[in-house]
Amino acid sequence: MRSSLDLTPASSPEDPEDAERSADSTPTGSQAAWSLRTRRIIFATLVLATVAALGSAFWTVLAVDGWTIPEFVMLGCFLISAPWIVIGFWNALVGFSILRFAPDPMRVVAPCIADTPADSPIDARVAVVMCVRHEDPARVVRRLDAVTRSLDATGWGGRFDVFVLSDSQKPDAVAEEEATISRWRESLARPERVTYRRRTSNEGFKAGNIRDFVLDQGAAYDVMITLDADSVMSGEAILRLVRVMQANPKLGILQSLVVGLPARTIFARAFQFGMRASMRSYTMGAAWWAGDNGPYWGHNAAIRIAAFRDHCRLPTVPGGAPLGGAVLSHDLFEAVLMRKGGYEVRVLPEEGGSWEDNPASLPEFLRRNLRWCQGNMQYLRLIGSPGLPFLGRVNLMIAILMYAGAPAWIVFMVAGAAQAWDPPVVIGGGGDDPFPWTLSTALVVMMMLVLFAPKIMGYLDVLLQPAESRRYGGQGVFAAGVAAEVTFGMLFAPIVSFSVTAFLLQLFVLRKPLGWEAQDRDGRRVRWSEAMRLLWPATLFGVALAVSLWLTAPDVLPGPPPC
Amino acid sequence: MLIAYIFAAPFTVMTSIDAPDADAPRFRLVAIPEEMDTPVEVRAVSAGPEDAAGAGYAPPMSPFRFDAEPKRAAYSAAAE
Repeated sequence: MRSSLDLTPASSPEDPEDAERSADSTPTGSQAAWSLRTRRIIFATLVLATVAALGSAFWTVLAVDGWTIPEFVMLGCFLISAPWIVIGFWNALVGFSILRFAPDPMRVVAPCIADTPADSPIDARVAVVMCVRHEDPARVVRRLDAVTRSLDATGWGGRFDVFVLSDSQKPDAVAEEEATISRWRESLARPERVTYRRRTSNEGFKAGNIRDFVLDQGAAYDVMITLDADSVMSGEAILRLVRVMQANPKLGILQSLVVGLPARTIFARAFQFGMRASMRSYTMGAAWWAGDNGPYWGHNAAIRIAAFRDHCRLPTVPGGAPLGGAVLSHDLFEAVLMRKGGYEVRVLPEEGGSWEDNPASLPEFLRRNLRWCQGNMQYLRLIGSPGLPFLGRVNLMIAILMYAGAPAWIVFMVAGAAQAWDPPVVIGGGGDDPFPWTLSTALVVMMMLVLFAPKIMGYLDVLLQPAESRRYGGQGVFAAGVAAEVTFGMLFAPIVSFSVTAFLLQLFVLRKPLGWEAQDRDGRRVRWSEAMRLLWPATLFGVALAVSLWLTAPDVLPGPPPC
Repeated sequence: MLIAYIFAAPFTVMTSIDAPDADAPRFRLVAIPEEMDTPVEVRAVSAGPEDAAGAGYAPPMSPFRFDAEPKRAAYSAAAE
């Protein structure tokens, strides 16, 4: 059964008309294909040239006095971790330039969004779907109620129905869920607008849950708005997504830019302060070259249901443990499949009405991050799937590199410490060239700039807009926030890298994957015993490195030199 | 960086406590109804100079108590 208003055109990507149009432009017809190709060539050239320049400079520094085994390892690690960092640098720089200098940034990166009227009537039937599994049902209802009331306030609430898709299994949780949602339904003027559906088996995890909805009930709707249990969207933000989807029948997924909900803990505050700043320029820059091959982050997005049903059926990851089985990081792969099916996937790179909770503490952040890491590692077995668009493979590779850089960084540090023990030269040596201090100093400065570029650009963007700075309490207040966040980030990032490295060892050496459990979304004070139990390996690693350096190169350590 | 590894546990414990201004009504989601009362204290405050100009999204947040008291007082007054 199809909905009364079918937004999916009768034609398919195989139709001659479509084929002709897609050769000249993106599927929505809003952007010239040659223009995007040119951008991608420029971007790839910039990234490759930067990696080559940095690698060459590092080679020159290391090659003085010949090569040792640790130096080879350091160079290899540098080249593994550099591409991800450099991509971030150029995304941020391009995004910042567009934000600051383009008269209409949206028109530059996503004309199909810019061209959509802001007040067109809502004709589509829309399902707002939230997947839950052992979540606090009161929180789920609070958020969905806020979303529905906000939608009703726009006057278009009648076009939207709400689906709570539960995968909960524990009897107590199920009973509470059913009772809470039942009470909420009874309180509504139109209780039939809310549907609660629970699966008895969580096959395929969240992606399987959504898939089942699409097959069972999705045919009655044109578009679905996917929400996580920690998501909130305003009615106006949802309408904007739906209007763009209506105006562009060949747009398959439209992802909104999500910002952190106000949080209580210092961890969440500092994290979301930096994240928000960096995402602004990074996302704009990525949208510039990715164009119709944009991302899907799994929630706070609009999805064309018919296209999703027809093209986004996830495969089973081939092979055995630890990577085989159901696709865990389903979102990005669904985006790739959507584009493969002939539909655009776009991100709306502007803040506005789209929020999510951020992890309240480091342990919770690490748990979530490692789940994502495991999911992204599955892409190693999916990236060669036949028929995927080239840009889709690039996006999958970037997702893999996001985590591959962590072990490279840790091994780099170990190799650096080993180099301080003055190992034997295996190639070259014997020359009397002076050490290139200027080049090595410039290299360190450049790497810091490249590494922190997304945040630097985001902070600059705020500082250069007086109105935006005022919203933070003024430029001075904002600068203080930046200083606090930079300090936080310098302590936070190394712990995350170590955690990812230890997990990848567990995954690939011990072949021990993680489970995929519900998150603890409530902030709670972490006990010392829990912190020590979780992080003693990182502490031991730090102490071992410090002792090694204290014995071999005490000058690099802070504090007075040893006697 | 070594400091980050060595002091990972204290960092974790100290950052899990509430920010000094965790209870301040300084976050406004003007498009979200007032009934919304999440565990993170999202509150709708409908007035304010930026909102009058049409800025309809949550204001950015500083990690700590860096916002000026007068501004907070203005939010409270608007809420009432």
